[in-house]
Amino acid sequence: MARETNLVKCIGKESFEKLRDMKVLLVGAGGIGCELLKDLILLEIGEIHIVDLDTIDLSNLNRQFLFRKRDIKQPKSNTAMKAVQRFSNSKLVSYQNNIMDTEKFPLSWFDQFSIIYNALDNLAARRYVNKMCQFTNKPLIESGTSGFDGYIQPIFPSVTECFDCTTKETPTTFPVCTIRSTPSQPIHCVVWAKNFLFGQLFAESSEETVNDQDLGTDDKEEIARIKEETNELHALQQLVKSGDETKITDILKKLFVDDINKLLKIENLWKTRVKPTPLGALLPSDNIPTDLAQVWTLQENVDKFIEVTKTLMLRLRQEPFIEFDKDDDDTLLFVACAANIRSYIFHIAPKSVFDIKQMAGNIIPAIATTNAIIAGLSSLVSLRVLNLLSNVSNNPLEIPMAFTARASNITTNRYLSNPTLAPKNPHCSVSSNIQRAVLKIPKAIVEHMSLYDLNQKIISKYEFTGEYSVLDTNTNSLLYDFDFDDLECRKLSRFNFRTGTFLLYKDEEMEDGAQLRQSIEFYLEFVPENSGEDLQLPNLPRDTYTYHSPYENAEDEQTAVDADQDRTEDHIQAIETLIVDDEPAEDERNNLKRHLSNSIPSPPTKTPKLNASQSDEDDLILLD
Amino acid sequence: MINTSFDSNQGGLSCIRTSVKDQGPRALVQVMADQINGGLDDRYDRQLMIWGHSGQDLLSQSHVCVVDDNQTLLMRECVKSLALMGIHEITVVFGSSNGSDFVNKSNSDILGFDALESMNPDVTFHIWNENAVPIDSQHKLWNSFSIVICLCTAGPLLQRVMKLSAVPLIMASTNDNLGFVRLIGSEPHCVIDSHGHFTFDLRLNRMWPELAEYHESFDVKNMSQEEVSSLPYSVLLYNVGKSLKSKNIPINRKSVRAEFIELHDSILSGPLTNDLNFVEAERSSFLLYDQSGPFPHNLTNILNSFHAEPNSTINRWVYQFVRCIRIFYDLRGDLPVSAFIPDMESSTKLFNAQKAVYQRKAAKDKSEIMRILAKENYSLIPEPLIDKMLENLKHLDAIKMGSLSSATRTISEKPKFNKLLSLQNDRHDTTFVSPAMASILGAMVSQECVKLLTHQYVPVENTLLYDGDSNETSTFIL
Ligand SMILES: [Zn+2]
Repeated sequence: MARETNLVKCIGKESFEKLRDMKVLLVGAGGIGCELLKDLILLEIGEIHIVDLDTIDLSNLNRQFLFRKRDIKQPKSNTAMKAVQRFSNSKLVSYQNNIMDTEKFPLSWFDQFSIIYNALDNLAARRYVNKMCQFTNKPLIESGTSGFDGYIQPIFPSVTECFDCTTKETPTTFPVCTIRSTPSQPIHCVVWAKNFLFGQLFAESSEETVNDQDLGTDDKEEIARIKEETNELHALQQLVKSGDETKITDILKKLFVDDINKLLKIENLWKTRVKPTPLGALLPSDNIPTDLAQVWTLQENVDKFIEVTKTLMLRLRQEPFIEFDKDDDDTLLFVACAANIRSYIFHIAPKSVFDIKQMAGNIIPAIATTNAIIAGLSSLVSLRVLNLLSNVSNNPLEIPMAFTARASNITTNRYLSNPTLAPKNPHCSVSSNIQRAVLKIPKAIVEHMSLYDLNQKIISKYEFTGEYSVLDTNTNSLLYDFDFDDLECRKLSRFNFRTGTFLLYKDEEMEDGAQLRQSIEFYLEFVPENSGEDLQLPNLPRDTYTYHSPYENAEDEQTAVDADQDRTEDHIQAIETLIVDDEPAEDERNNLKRHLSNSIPSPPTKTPKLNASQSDEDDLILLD
Repeated sequence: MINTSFDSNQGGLSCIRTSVKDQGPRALVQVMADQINGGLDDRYDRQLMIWGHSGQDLLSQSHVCVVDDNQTLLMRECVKSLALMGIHEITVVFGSSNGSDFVNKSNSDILGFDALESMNPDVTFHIWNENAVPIDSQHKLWNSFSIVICLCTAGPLLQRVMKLSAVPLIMASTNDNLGFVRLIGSEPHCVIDSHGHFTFDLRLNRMWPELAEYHESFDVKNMSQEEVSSLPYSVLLYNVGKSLKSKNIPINRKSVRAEFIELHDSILSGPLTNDLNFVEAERSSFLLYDQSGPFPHNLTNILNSFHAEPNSTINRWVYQFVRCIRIFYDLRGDLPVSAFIPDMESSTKLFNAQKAVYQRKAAKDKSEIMRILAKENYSLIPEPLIDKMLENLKHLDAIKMGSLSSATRTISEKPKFNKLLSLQNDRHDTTFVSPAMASILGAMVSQECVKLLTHQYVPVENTLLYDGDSNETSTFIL
């Protein structure tokens, strides 16, 4: 039977015609994305746009069925499109870009789609697409998997829970002091070896200074030591660059004897901790280990460390710098041996290279079946979201989400749990008490209009009365509030504004029960000179809401939480384990860089106090 | 490579490999060896984290047969997942009743056979028309399969499958937005590792002499702060338990906590949360409560599930092993001790000393288990598997498989299931299935297939019904 006939029988002629006329966006062409692309093509959807920045890796091939070994290193989006094109009645458009690229994908671009499917592997992009859907009022089907666990969540902007209505676990980061001075788990040593040591020795050199607030310690002596150590590593980098193999023993001695002895001198650290044991005298031997699944002895780790450091030093003659890549064996072995030697020193269990590869690559388990189930669920529920099924209710609050149950539980009588969608969270900073609009800025005005001028126009037009704040939500930097007006006199041209910048205007009355104006988030869009000199502010219906301090009303919140409990118990847990960055290796490195870096471009930021109702741990992390 | 033959039995016979099914256990032995020699296997990296090299090796030795009347999307979805996960050999048998006497190898389908064939070079494909396979259900071809997946809902092919008695069978079908998966087998299925929540038992309330002696060797009350900080938490727990007993205070969460604070504050300053070994000790205070009790439920379940020795090799080994554990338990009044103890915040020297105490006892218990196994004539179980099961006593289990005779039974309390069965009968030739349903059901079938093949994780017991309108699933024994 032809695909079309089958489909018409399943959903009816009218719905089928609607699908044929529809344009949809698929964000991600990985595990879920390949499956979804197939499912959407089999639904005969008129036009499908596919966005993915990634390229194909060998470890994708156990589930991303559109890719073959010959496709490795090719872009996922385009390869996926080519793989299905000849079977497709849908028009296909692919982009090898980051979905957060505002030049490529301005807000207006999102507006062309009837629905957006998220098949992403990281938190930042998920939150971004969620926000764009709130802006454009487009339904979103959010999804994710990890091993046998998976979930889908349809999101109707301003009606049902959005991605940010529940707090999400962020990728684990460790305080600098744990990594640098007092590791207690294997992962601490791996992070030290990969993000700190390898980064300093072989990666692209960057001027990194340590920001005191991120250290996680107040101990003056310890902080001084951490800073000193960073500077010393720059000296080591020169040694590595020199290519002089005889210096490798110096490197070993510096890292695993001298540095440890210096730490031992900080007595406060060792009052309640077991003291590390500096590396003793070891003579290099010729028994270099090869079995990557075996845990190596200290001697074997040292031998391999020497060998692989030689290799990397040789490579530095050809390559200007080397980035850590779990699939680059030299970099992996260096990190594994360094981490293990450090583990021995701090009396932590050493690990096999195989294990360290997973830890350093932050690999999340993934199989074909869960991805196929989740993609199937996503495409199936989207028919209801698009109001194309006639035999069931398509009311948003009656549509189910889905979580796959843990495969280990013999007592559970459920393979899937299927709570219906919840209304949006009234305290959510993304979906509640906020209005959104595009603010068109003629290029002609940026040279003479100051932030002060802009603020005045906005507060009078939108009737902000009391204290208010202005935040650039792309960078989470505060531009203005009642005791920070340093930037107000700057001309708009001196900010880093561009099309795609978000400006959030927010009432800052903090008294419980106060009537506040809804916040407004503007999406800036720069328009050409000839479009006039005037700044046109869009008309918005201005609503108010009653401010509830989470601190004063803790009881209310508790009741709300209780009422929600039976519905969400499973899912909070599920979501926390699921919304993980698939390959947070990059993110984690960036996080650490953020921790260690001061050099953020203009506009200068200060540490803003976050409004309590908006306090959101993720934002705190991003703030400098 | 695809191996197609439409008309000759010769082709059929050439693909018969004797005792493929029996390679499973041998694979398991090999695996454990592989684990030691293994390198980095990138293609399966992400799934090795789920079932390990031992699971993957069983898959790479398996031969799965998928039977379907038509070359449906559901069948293609199943084959796709199985191929991606690295099943060694896949045989597809399709019916001839609908005149489709050829393999649809045209390039018209995303999941066409040419695509399925190229998905994973590790997989060998055979595609048969039903006319080309032996009629006799007892033929050794059928017995060479590790599992048969049957997606037919009627017709002669189904009748033939229904006569297969020895091979585990997965039946599945979908119609409208309903679908079911059913696991059928001639005997229960044993799980080597359910991957349940990890727990351990340090035997702090049921010590053997050496463990008691070790714990008694610390005079905690007269130690320096530094010495106390380096103690493994089990020593702290033991002292708290002992002190409560001497005061005749019943051991419960509250009394243990109070006693901990007292012990802590008598030696160390600052809050208890500053001392990691105390924090760990408090978190593990459940280890002091009485844990000895009847023989564990999961092991009893395995023994009660079988009326006779299981036929399938892995099931038989699990059953024999658990029988010996029962004999050990009857002799010693307790289970064998695990060599594995959790990491503890303590000095390396003390931790290693304590680990050695457990390891000595575990080795002794294991040698007694080996003795019992030998005495019972159960000497074929590979030692790596014995070690794995000894570490894993809490995560062994058995599930009931459905029987062939109940395969088409309706049940009054499951109206949706009955509806699905009646849809199947009415529309046998014109099934319409949304692609999404095929994707979901196909993946569920493959997932259950992999759980059965690896003997890891807990398969559906034994019928699963899925309703695509509500996303509701229900599981029931049929
Ligand atoms: Zn929200």
